[in-house]
Amino acid sequence: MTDPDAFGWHHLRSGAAADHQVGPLTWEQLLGLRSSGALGPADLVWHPALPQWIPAAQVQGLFPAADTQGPAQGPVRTALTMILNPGQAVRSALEDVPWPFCLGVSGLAFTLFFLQTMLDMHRVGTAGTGRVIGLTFLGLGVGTIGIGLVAALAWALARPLGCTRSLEWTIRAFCLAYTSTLVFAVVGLIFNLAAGWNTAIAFGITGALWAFHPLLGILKEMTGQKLAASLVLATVCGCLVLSVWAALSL
Amino acid sequence: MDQNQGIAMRIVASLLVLGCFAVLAWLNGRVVGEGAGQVAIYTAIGFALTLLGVAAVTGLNLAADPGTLGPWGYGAVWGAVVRGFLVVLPFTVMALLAQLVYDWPAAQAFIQASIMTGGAAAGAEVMRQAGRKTRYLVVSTIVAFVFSGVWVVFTYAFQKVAG
Repeated sequence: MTDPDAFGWHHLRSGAAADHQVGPLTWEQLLGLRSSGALGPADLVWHPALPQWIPAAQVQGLFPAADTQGPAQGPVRTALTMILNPGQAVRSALEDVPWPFCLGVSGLAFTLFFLQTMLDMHRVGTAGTGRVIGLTFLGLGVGTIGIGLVAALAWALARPLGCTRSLEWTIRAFCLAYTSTLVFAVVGLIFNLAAGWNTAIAFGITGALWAFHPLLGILKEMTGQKLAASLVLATVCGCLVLSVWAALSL
Repeated sequence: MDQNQGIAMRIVASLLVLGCFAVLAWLNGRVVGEGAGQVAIYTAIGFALTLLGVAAVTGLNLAADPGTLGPWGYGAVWGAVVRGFLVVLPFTVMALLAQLVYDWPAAQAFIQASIMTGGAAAGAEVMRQAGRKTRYLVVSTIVAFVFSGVWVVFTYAFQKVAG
C-alpha cells in the first residue's frame, strides 16, 4: 500500500535501470534514505514538479552541511534572511558571519525589549529609574550570555540525536534568530518614547515569539529534520527564555 | 510508512493542532470572557476558526496549484499543512506556563504568533513535499495573516458583545 502523504519524490540509484526506481516517497522518507546511506549525493531524484531527474545533492535541504552549503552572504543579509527564509539562512555559511555581529543582534534585541518592559513599568509607577537602568543592562546579559547558554543547552541535547553542527554554529544561529525581535523592539521603542504607549507585550513579546520560526528551522537542521525532536527542543528553549524574562521583570 | 500509519499520523497531528488551538482559545477566553459559559463559547468558536483556517490554507494551496497538488488530493495536502502547524505545540506550552504559573494573561499574543508561524511553516512543509514552489509559502503566509486578523476581530467583537 502506498503512503497517502507521499507527494511523489522518486529515487533512482546511480547506474540502476529505470524500472529500479523507488517511489513515490515523502520528503521524510527521502531524508531517511539519505540518513541510512541508501541515497547518495550522486543518486538521481525526481518529482513531478521537476522537469527532469537531478542529482540528489542539488535538492535544497536534502544533504545538510558542507556538501550543499550555500554561498556566504553579508552579515546583514544573512540576518534578514533569518526572518524571511530561515531554511535558506541555516544552509548558508553562518560560520562566516562575525560572532560580535551575531551577539550584537540578540544582545541589542533583548536590551531594547527589557528597556520597553521597564519603561512600561516606570510609567505606571512600579519601577524606579535605577531599576530601569539596571534591568536594561541585564537585558544585554540575557541577549548575549543567556541566549548563548540556551544555544549550548540545545546543542548538548541535540548531540545524541545526531547533530553534526558545531557549538559555535549553534550559538551564531540562535543569536541571529532574534533578528525579528530586534526589528520589533526598535519599532516598539519608537512608539513607546514618541507616543507613550506600553509596548512590552505588543512589540516586545510578539517580536520574541516571532523568533520561533527561525529557531524551529535551526533545530530541525540540528536534529536532521526530526520534527518531534525539534518541537521538544523548541519548547524547552522557549520556556527557558520565557522563565528568565518573567523572573527578572515581573 | 504504509497507508494506515500515514492516515493515523495525519489524524494524530490534526488532533494535536486543533487541541492546542482549543487550549489557547480557552486561555484567552478566561481573559476576555466572564464565567464558564462565555469561556466555553469563546473556546468553541476559536476551535471552529482554527478548523476553518487550516482548511483554508489546505484548500487555497490546492486551488493555487491544482496541476501539482491535485493528484495527491486534499487529504495529503491537509497532512502536510497540519505538520507545519505543529509549531503551535511549543507556543501552547509557553502560554500555559505564562498564564497559569506566572499569572501573565498574554494568550492572545501566543495565538497570533502561533497562526503566523504555523502558516509559514505549513507553506514550507507543502513546499518541501511538493517540489519547492515558493507559491505554497506565499499562499499559506497570506491566508495565515488573514486568519490571524479574523481572530483579532473575533476577540474584539466577543468582548463587545460579552460586555
